[in-house]
Order: sequence, then C-alpha cells, then structure tokens
Amino acid sequence: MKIRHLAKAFTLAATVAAGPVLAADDEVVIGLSAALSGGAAGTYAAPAEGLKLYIDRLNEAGGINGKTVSLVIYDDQGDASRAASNGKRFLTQDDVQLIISVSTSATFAPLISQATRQGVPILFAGSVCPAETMPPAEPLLYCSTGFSSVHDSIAMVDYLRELDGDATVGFAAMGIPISRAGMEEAERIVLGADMKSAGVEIAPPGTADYTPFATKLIQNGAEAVLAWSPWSVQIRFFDALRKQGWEGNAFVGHLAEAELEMMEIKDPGLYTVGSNAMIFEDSKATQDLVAAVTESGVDLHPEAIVDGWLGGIVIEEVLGKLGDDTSAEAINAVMSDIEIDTRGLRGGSIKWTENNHFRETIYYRVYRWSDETGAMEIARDWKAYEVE
Amino acid sequence: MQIVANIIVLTSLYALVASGYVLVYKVSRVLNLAHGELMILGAYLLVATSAGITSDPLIAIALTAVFSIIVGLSVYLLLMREMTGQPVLAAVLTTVALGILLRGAMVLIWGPQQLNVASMLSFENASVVLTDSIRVSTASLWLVICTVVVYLGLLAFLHMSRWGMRMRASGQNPLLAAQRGINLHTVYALAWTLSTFSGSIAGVLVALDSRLDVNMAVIGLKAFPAALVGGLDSLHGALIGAGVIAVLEVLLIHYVNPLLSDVVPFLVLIAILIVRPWGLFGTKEELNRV
Repeated sequence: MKIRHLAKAFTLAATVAAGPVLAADDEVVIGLSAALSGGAAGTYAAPAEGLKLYIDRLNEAGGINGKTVSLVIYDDQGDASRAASNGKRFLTQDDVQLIISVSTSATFAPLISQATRQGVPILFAGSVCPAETMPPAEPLLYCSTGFSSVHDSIAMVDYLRELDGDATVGFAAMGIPISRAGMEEAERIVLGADMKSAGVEIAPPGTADYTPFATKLIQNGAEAVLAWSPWSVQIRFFDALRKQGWEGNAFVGHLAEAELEMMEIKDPGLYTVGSNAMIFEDSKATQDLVAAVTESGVDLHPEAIVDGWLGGIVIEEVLGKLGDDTSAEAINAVMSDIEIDTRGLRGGSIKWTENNHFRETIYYRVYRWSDETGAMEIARDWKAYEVE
Repeated sequence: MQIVANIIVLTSLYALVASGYVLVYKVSRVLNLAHGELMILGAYLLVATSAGITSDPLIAIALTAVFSIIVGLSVYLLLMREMTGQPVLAAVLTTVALGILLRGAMVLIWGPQQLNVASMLSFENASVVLTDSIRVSTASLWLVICTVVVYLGLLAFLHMSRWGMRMRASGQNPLLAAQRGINLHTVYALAWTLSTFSGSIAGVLVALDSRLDVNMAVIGLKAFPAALVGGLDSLHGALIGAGVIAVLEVLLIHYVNPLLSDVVPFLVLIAILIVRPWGLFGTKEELNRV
C-alpha cells in the first residue's frame, strides 16, 4: 500500500488551508490547477508532481534572477466546476501572475474565460494543447505539452504509411471531443492517401468491456489500428484486440504512462508515437531527470513526469528573461516571443511567436518493445513536422 | 459467432455484479449504491494481497475472497446495522456516502494510476480458441464459469438451505420472520457478505482481464439496469436482465452506433420502470405513490 498518497493528500490540504498567498517583491506567484485525484489523475498527477519537483529545485538553488517561485496548487479532479473555482481563487485570492493547467480538456473553458478577462497568461504543461494555442493563437494561451491529438494522428499515419502503406487501418477513439477529432482526422488522412479504413470505433466513457468494439474492427478487416485517447482507453482497446488473436500493429499516443506500461506488456506490435524522449534512452537529459527524482526522495516514476519537467524548464526560461517587472503582462510579453531549449527531452526547441503558441515545428519519435534486445527501442528517430 | 461470445461474456459480467444488488435488496429492501466500489475494492484487495502477503496467484485470490467476506461483514456490522429500523432512504443515502468514501480511500491508498493486475500476479491472460471464429480471453472464460457457479450456488442456497429460506422469509415479511425467531441481523449480515463476495469475484476477474483503476466502479452503475430490468428481488431476473442489456449493448455497438450502447440500457430501464416498475420478474409490492 502506498502511504505516499496519504502524505500527498495532507500536503495538498495544507496548501489549500494555508489561505491566500501574498506576492512579495522577490517572488513570482504561479497557480497550478491539476487533476491530482479523480478519474484522470492516472495521466495528470505525475506530470504535476514533476513540475512541482522542478520548481522546488529551482527555489532551493536560489530561484531565478533572485526571485523565488511560489507555486499554489489546487486539485481540480479533471472537473470543470472545480477548475472554475480554482481559477477564481488564483485570481481573486492568490493574485497569481501565471496559471498552469495539468488537467483534462473539460477544465479549459472556465480557466481560460476567467484568466483572459484578468489578462493572466495560462500555460498548458501536461494538459492536451487546446486549439487556441495553435495558429492563429489567442494572446494569453500557451502550450508546452508533448501530445496533441491532431498532430499526433498526422505523425501516426505518416509512420504507418512508411511501415505498411497498403494496410487497412482501424481507428479507436473515446467518446470525448478531443479523441474523436484526432481519430477522425487520422481517418481523413488515410482515405486521402488511398489507404483503406476499417472505420472509427468510438467507445463511450465508462465502457465495461472493449471486446465488442475490437471485434468490429477485426471483422472490418483492420490490419493496423490507430488509437488516441486517455492511456487507459488506448491500452484496453489494444488488450481487447490481442485477446481475440489479432496480430496486427497498433499505434497509440505517447502519454505519461506509456513507457512503464510498454515495458510491462513487452509487445513489439505496440508502437507509441510522441514528441517526448523516453527514460530508457539514458541520454544526458534523461539522466539529469532521473538523478533529480532520486535526489528528491519523492516516490515518482521519472518516465511519467517528462511533460511536467518540461513545464518547469519553460517556467525557468520565461522567468529568466523577465526584468524587474514580474507582472502578468510582462510574463505574457516574454512568452509571446521566446525559443525554449528542451535540453534533449524533445527533438527540438519550443518556439512561440505572437501568432503561434504551440510550436512552429513539432518533432516525433516512434518507440516500441524489441523482442530481439529484450528492451525498448526507437523504431524511428525524430522527424520534424511543420505546424500550419 | 464472436458477437455471441461477446454477449455471453458481457451478460456474465453484468449478471455477477447484479447478483450483489439483488441479494441485499431481496433481503433488506436496501439499494446498495456502493456496490460498484465494493466490487473494485475486491480487486484492490487482490493487489494488496499479492504485493504484501503472497506472490502465489491462487493463494492471493483465495485470501482476497476471505478478505472480501470480512469487508462485507464489516460494512454491515459497522455501518448498515445502525440503519436497521431507519427509513429506507436513509440507508440508501448511507450507501451513496460509503461509495464516495471508498472511492477516495482507494485513490489515497493505491493511487490513481491504472494497475496491470494480471502482470503483477504473473497471470497470462491468453486468448483461448473456442472455435475457428470464437476467441475469448482466459479471464473472460473464468468470468463465465464463475457466474454460472455463483448463480447455481446462490439459487441452491436460497431454495434448499435453512439459512437461504430464512433470508427469503426475512425479505418477504421481516416482522413475521423475527417473530418466528429468525435473527434479522444475522440474515442481513449474511446478505451483505454474499453480495460483497460475488461483487469481489467480478472485480477480480475484470481487473485480471482489463487492468484496474478506480473508474471501474462505473461498471456497478452499468449493471444496475440489468438488476432493475430483471426485478430487484429476483436472482434469475437479474440474469435475464443482464442478458437483455448485454444483447442491446453489443448489437448497438456492432450494427448501429457505439455511442448508443451507453444510453440505450438506461432508456430500457426507464421504459421498464414506467410499464412494470417491479421489473420483469420482480415482486409487485405496495408502492408508495407520489
């Protein structure tokens, strides 16, 4: 049993009970609204912890330009009404200069409407990137997250065409807008490339058994399946296909749980397509991340926190470029024209301009398990895709 | 033919979960809305047992069965016993609160991450070839077998054993049963124990088949229409209700629109409640009219 979760809950309760945080001259107050509990916490809690760990280390090292970062954390449980309440507290009690979201897309609307009214920028660092961050971008919304349903789908289809351009492709989605949008876009690309579609299967949230959906894909002749949805749904679709003896390849989005699960499943036919590096590579960047987690003594899986860690890098780079003025307006001005070095955790930098708050070029890698080496491997190295 | 196999597996799942609703309602007229949470608590108990006591899957499952019996008994003795004699609504609301409490506690103890229970137990959930066109997973096959065994066992227990007859008598007329010397608390405790036990079996098998997270408690909600359609106090009604819901769900996924599979079972439930509020095989009782 993991008593650490009790400790986390008490820490969170203490944060909430501490009341409003008053910004001192030598600190920047940042609000973090994250799905720390509830149904989506499996995907979002770890990146939020990773971001907190990065900020704690920054503060221990003396802060940025002599300023410390005060991180106010509220749990939104992936729920819109709680996110709305968090947004109100950030803006009216805590007087934050920046809001970070690590949560479900359902929480975006209330946070965005409140923050934009007050002119406070929002960074999506672990949440899926909302369309408003892509060209033409809304002024106050930025995204550093490694996954995006439509762009991931484009990269998945592209890799599938390289691997087997004649395959009949099935698509597995969850009955939420962002997942459906990704898979319907993927099907459009597949049909546009004269490939055959076995249809898009959309499982409602709370599906008890994914087998009937998988049966339909198999009976429609799917030789390869693409899935983009919360990890728990992607992987249950895959399990349901394999349980029926399906031997094709599946291509899924690279989310926080991916690396740990793939090492457990050990199936060479399961590919993840994403823009974050994996920890098994043992590069300088991943070594630093693992060392930081080990030093902290916090019970975290480094594999699951990459997006949160990158969010911390973004905060460090943005605040590093600030002068004495640490207002929300000044932070937004820096964010709207910056290039952030992702230090080897991505294929390239994150570049934001006035018109593009997602990135100008997104790099994708494909990973899978290798039976030959008995370890994870890079199936295809970084490939750049221009964001239009 | 694979569709038929899918229907049988889904029927088994809903029937096994629905049996827990029926047992408690049949005896005490309490609708246990924490049954989904108690179901997945069984699966989490398996995780705890395999991590902390034994790595042998069979011993871990046997210990989990014992622990689930203790949980069911504890729920009655520590919580629901206090509700005896109170309005039914108070008891039902207590189960709602219990469900919320259990859900929160499970996240705090085991975390929000999805757990691969089969991998933790080194259980190979292999695909079993039944015919050329029918394959099911090992865990699904066990689910069907366990459902058959549980239903046969429960029907035999309720109709052929002394305690089973006492349970039925207490459900039909608790006052008369008490006057005849039946200890109602013992009967209610037995019902809660059996209900939690059957729910735990479902939870363990679902977790072995498709991983485990707290959101799986929603399966309890999806099995609810099965119990109501069949009749909340009828065990064979629950089996038939589960079949009706599973057939609808699988056929809608395959031939109409998968998203309807989430809605239509509840439409059927509403239709049944309008036409025959006591369900297809339930007992027509004196209903309080609005």
